[in-house]
Amino acid sequence: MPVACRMCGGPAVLKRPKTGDAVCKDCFFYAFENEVNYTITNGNLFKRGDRVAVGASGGKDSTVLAYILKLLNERHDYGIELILLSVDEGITGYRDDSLETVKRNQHQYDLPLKIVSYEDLYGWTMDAIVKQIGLKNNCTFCGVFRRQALDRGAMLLKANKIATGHNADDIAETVLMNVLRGDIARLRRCTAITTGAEGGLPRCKPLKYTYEKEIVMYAYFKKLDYFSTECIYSPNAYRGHARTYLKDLERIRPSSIIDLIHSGESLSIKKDVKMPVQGTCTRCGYISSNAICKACTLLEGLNKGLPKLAIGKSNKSRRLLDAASQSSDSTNEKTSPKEKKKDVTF
Amino acid sequence: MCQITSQNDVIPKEDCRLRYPYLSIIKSVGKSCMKCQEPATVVARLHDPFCRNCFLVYFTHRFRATFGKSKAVRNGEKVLIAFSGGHSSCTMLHLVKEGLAEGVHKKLRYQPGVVYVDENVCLEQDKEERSAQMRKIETWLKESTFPSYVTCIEEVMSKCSPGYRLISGDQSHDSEDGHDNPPTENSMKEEFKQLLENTSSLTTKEDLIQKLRLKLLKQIAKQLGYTKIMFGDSGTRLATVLLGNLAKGHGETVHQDMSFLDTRGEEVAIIRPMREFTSKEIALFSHQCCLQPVFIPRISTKASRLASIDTLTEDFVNGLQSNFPATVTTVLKTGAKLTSDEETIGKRHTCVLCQSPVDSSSSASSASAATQYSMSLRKSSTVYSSSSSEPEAACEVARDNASCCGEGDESCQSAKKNEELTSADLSVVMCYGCQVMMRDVKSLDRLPSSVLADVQRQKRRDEMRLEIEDFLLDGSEEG
Repeated sequence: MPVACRMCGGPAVLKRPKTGDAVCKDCFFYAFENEVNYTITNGNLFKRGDRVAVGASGGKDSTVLAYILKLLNERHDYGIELILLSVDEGITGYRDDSLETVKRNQHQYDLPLKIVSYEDLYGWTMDAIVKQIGLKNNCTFCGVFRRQALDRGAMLLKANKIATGHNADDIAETVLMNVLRGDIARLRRCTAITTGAEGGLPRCKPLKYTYEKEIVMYAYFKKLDYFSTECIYSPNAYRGHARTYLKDLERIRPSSIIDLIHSGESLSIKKDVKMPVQGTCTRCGYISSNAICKACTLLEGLNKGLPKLAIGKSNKSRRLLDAASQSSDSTNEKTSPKEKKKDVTF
Repeated sequence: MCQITSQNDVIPKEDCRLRYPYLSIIKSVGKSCMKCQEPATVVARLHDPFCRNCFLVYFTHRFRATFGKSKAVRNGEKVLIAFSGGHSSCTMLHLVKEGLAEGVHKKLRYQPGVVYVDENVCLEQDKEERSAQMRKIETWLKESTFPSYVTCIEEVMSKCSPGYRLISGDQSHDSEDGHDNPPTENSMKEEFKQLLENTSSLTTKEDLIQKLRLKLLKQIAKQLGYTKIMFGDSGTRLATVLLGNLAKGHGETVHQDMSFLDTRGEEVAIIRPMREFTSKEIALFSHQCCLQPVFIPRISTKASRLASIDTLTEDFVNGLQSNFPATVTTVLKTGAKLTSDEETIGKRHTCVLCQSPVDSSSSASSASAATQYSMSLRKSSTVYSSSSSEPEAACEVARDNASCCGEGDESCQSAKKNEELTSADLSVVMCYGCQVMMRDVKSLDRLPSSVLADVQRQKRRDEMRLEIEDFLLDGSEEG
């Protein structure tokens, strides 16, 4: 006996992970698209005339994001301009394949595309970095470099906003990670739907409340094409633990993902907790909470052959770095040996 | 400073060695104690080997220092110790007893009592086993020399004050009315069982039992004149609670679930002195002192990893802790830096189940708003605009018991007529996390009458407030 669609009464073809309802294909598209539209309008993510750089990696999130932004822009007349922006980290066997997918998307959705690479921006590819530092902590490098790469690429395109495909599962994982790692500053910021509005380009997450499974379902039923392999360096990441826990939570209670996000949004920090202050990097002018931004520190480490610089507690190497930089340029920074800078990785 | 002498052990040392002969052959772990350089017997944390005496001193000192630092308990205050028979509870009771023993130098003297909550109704056990367990519990209670009580979890369903049984009284205590209310009535047992049977998931069952147990303890403490309740939750357990509560949507109050002093609820506060210790340290201490905890199975004992959110989270934290030993301390430190939204706290209602502030309808973009929108989408679809084959009652109450009030436009009046609890009411009287939990409970009127009474009272207060709203000057009134 066929199950009836909860919304229209016709025959249902799938069960929504988010609400547990059985729905037919068209009702699912309707619900999914309207939810994203609601998120966009309710959160005031876009204004008329915005030039939005859409972070496109060729994976499911960014493919669906590009598709749905284009669709909703036309349907609801947001009046925004969309450009695909892709980052080439230089990981053979992973990134070069997904870039092909992005190029296909460019033709399918008829959107302009710009590719920026780590090689051009920093002079290092991820493969070369991993060769130097080994298989642990390489996600730090990739993540920090990618954030800057996206910003720089968007500035080259003269965009005034960045849209990324982070979904509900990603945000929930990030909340967990930040609690586990004790990163109180990020814990407060990570659930905001638009971040980075002060200094640097604001970046928003239109898919913030959509479940990863639903994104896959949407892409599957709409026959959207994407590249789905894990980064070859990811199995050793700490985030993997949080991800496994989250997947299991979803099996026990599917609403846990949204509940986690709700918890993250309701957190407030005590007033006497020390928070990082935002400034600019003295070397590259990018926003930073320390005198030298993380990317510059990491690069310095790579170039000087001190790959563990800025990973973990780094009093010693920080002193080395400052000693080296004091002799070469005339900054007045003094890092006292007792100063403990806990460098957080995510 | 703090001297551990053998007369304070629960079991004399000689018997201890007979029972555990290997204790006399101390296997050195090849390290020396970091304090006194004797051969070490335990490694409490990763790089800290201790010999037996130094470990006991260290442990006891940390227990007392937690009290001293927080200044939460004052001299002469009556503190009720919630005893469950497990390692943590036994260790805590042992430390409290030692700390207040004559001849020990201390500044803080408080008056403890001990209470044990009998949860046999949740998981029926074999009669003989049960009486053996109860005998062991009563031995612990009597040997503590503090006034001790035993109560049953189903007493929370009582329509008046909950009953309890006195095990050993303090002779100097004035006998008041209700000093010895023997728990009666099998009907309460039945009601409690019905409540549990109406709950579909193990997660919600565990949560309900835990919240109702807390409610019961607070009621009993209030009755007996205790101003604080002491729980033996270890640091590991609190880290699990923190993560589990995040996953259940209790984000705003996680910090209170794991803080040393928890002041939710009007008169009775909660203290958790064992939060400084991991479960490993507690087990080591309990073993070194030859304490004998009582094992009582619960509904989640031996459950699979995916049976409930709590079992999954416990597995997760223990797994992480073995690979990354700083996990528990980091999680607890993070929790200690959190607080509630102070600006709105006075203006919000209090959740009837967990006494946390009910979440206010929050900012523009929020998870609860997104969820409500998804739920509202269920009822509409522009794909098929013609009416469906059978008219579906839009209202859940009507679908269930066919007492449709006939409004039909989602302003259901049947609840108002019957004074029943509907899910629309819940969003006003319960916090987000408790609302999520209640989705698993089939019929809401199985909840204890005290909870339902609170709900009705809140509804009436809201109606009153609505009437006089125009004339209230400042929103500084409590919710």
